[in-house]
Amino acid sequence: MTDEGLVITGISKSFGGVRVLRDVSLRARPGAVTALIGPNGAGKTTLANIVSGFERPDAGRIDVSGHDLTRRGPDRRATAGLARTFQNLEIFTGLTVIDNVVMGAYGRGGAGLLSAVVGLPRARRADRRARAAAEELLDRFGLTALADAPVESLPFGQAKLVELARVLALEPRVVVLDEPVAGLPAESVRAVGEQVTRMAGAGAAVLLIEHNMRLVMEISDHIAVLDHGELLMEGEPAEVRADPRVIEAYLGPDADRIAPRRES
Amino acid sequence: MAVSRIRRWRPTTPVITAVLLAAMPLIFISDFARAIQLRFCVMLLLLTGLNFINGYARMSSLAQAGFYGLGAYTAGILAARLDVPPALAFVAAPVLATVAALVIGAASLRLRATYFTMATLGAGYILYILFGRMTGVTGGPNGLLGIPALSVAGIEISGPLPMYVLAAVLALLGVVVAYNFERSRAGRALRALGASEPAAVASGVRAFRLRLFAFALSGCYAGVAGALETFDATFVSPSSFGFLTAVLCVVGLTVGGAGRAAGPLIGAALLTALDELGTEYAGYEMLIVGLVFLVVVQAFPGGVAGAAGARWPRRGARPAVARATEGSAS
Ligand SMILES: Nc1ncnc2c1ncn2[C@@H]1O[C@H](COP(=O)(O)OP(=O)(O)OP(=O)(O)O)[C@@H](O)[C@H]1O
Ligand SMILES: [Mg+2]
Repeated sequence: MTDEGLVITGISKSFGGVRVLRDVSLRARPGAVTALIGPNGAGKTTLANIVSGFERPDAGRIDVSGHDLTRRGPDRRATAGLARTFQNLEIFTGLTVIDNVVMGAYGRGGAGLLSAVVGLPRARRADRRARAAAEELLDRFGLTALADAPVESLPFGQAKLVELARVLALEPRVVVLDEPVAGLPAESVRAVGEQVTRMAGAGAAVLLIEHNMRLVMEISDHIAVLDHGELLMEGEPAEVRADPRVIEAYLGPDADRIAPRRES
Repeated sequence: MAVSRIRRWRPTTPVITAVLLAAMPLIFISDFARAIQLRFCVMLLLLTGLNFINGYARMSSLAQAGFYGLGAYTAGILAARLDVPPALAFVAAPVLATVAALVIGAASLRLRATYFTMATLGAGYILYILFGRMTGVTGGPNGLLGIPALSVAGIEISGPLPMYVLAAVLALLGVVVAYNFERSRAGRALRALGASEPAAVASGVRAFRLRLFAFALSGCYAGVAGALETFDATFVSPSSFGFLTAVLCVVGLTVGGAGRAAGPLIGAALLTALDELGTEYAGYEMLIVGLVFLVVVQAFPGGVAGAAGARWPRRGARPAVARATEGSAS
């Protein structure tokens, strides 16, 4: 069976009578970065919430690797190999950097509640394995020196990297990233970009929501444009950049030079 | 850099607790001191239990006094009225308190934080009213009398010192279990859930189940505390399990340091001291509580344990932070 990656089919969603998404269908293939772009309020985050199970669609379905996850809660979707980050930084304050990353692997299973309380050897072994994997990820993100620091002591850019490392700890098949580089300095943008490319290289299906067009054009294999809750078009980066509808709705006439800015 | 390699051993909370619980009865030996020491163990159990839900999960339960009372009355009624062997009555107390926590938690833990607090306040108050009003079963406001001495396998545990030893062993066990839990996968998940529910759930944490587990643990600990209280005092009256106790538990834990292993220990010490102050300066103790609470919450959001942790950070923490800020500056 070939892995289908993430398949979004006919998703519609209204909030109190306001249509936010209208019959959106989209695919994110394994091993590729699929970008989802569009103006503020287009419905990108809403779609990410529906994909990850935080919001229920009015119609449509979500499949991951051939499994229909539409009726599953967000926690069960993590177990099925779907990981996500959030537009607003969501980290585990009060935990160390390494524990933040170890937490990312929670959905992959481990010792049960009771054996944890009693401190059974099996629970300890499973814990050591998760820690070793997290150490490897920290190394990859250049965060090894910070492993035992409280995560809230990190500057924003590094906290964002921790969030990304946490997502990878799940060894996900599908990754949804909601604006991973918003507010980051240039060198962090590059670091995040490299890691996203690497995720896809390792076989994950990456759905990247992002306003930074330079990054999107550089690392995406496929781009979909959402406008007012509808899919405006999709295609390869060059096609999207040249499409008059996209230029009008989102990019503006200076698409080649200027990345659209968003107020935050 | 080399300095951070040296792992200076620091006493953990279970070790400090063990030393404290072992030293106290050797240093202060009067019956009066014994009563205070036992009170400390009971408080330690109550706050260590409450720390699961109010500390690690960062929810605010006001039901701890209700579970405490339920434990006390379960043990008392079974032993005094139904002639259940005292040891069995003792064990039944945490079992029933756990079941009550599961039921109340199942009904309230899907609510948002503030509503959960209101629900636990209501549940705790209903229990308190039942203790006072079900006169036929509980003895009502006059209290429940005729509680027999506790005996395990034919050995009677009565009198100040044996009761204290039992209380100390149970309190230490409670602290060790909580300490293991905090460091375990489930404990980490509970703390993560308290810090960011979306990120925890997106990592696969079953939020409701885990919170229910934490709440049940808090009920269980309160049940043990109640049973100890009953067999020590050989008398149960509703007045110990009302709103004031519920609030004092929350205040004690918050001032001690909610969500930190040492928090319940510090909080229990403060509440026990307050108890003694209260008998000397009756009427003014709540004023003291209010003032201390205000000052600590303003000045040290992490409680006393949090402030101490910032002053003496865990190994590795400080150099790492220094490196982090250097990194961002360059
Ligand atoms: N829970 C909600 N209730 C009501 N309206 C909502 C809700 N969530 C989102 N919306 C509305 O849905 C629309 C789409 O919002 P969404 O956050 O999905 O946009 P977005 O494409 O992610 O925008 P941005 O680029 O600014 O992040 C907006 O008009 C927003 O106000
Ligand atoms: Mg958004």
